Amino acid sequence: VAERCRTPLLLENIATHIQVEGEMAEPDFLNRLCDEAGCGLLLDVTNLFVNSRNHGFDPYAWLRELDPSRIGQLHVVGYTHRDGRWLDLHAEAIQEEVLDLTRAVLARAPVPAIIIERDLNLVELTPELEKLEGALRGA
Amino acid sequence: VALDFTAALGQLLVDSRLRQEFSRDPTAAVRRLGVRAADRDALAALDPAGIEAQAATLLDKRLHQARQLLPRTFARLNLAGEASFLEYAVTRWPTGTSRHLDDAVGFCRHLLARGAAAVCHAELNYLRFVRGHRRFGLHLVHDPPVAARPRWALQALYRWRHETPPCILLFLRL
Repeated sequence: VAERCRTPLLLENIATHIQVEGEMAEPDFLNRLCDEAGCGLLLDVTNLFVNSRNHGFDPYAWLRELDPSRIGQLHVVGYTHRDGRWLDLHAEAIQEEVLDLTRAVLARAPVPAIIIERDLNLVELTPELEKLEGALRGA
Repeated sequence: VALDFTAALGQLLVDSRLRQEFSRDPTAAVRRLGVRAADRDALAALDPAGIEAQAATLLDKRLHQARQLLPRTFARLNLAGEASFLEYAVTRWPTGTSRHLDDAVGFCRHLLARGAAAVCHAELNYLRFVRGHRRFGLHLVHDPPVAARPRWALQALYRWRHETPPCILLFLRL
């Protein structure tokens, strides 16, 4: 696909409520996928966060297993907590826990671009941008 | 041909009746789906609540896209918009790169088939035009989005190239 498009291809980690028994660990899978396909990773920090809450794993340990050199872009938005599940509905302001995780990513990877993935409950985005700028400076 | 794990999971995510059956008896549902032997145990071991939550997330994303493409139609539906869309969406799952357009047009058709007056025909005309290949389109509409109250207008559509947008949209009040 990258050859056909003549542009770098980034694949994104998804938010999932489904866990398959005996599957390869997600960071291993993403590392291998990026290595073998020669593509980069669009790391959705919120997807990582909601997956860690829904499936009960440590997102920082997950990050340590990931090859940071593959990260080409970040997606960030606040999570939604509804009916006992954490969701990525692109509807909330970035919470402190997601911002902490973003800082941890930025400390490991010189990410060239961050996108705030906000589609719903739109408000003035300046505070969100300031939070991310602060995270970038902190990294 | 026996389904592999991914294809079978896809079937579960788009078919609410199948999910109900899976929730009652995963093994029977997997057998009925015709999943290949190597994948049956892994599929049957999935958490039905997780599959249901994943399906709900996908429906949420479709609803969001439809709202973006049909703002006036959803405004007219008001609080009934979400329920109407879900009634349509649980049985139809468009695929491919124009799936959101197909979804919005399909939802309008669903509403029209039920005699709902909420469909904004100017929006539907525009979406059909974008989805199609014609370079010109001309429609008589009674609900142009440029008018505060219903009035007749000519909706003119022109495609700049033989591609999806950019296209030009004009309303001439009559």
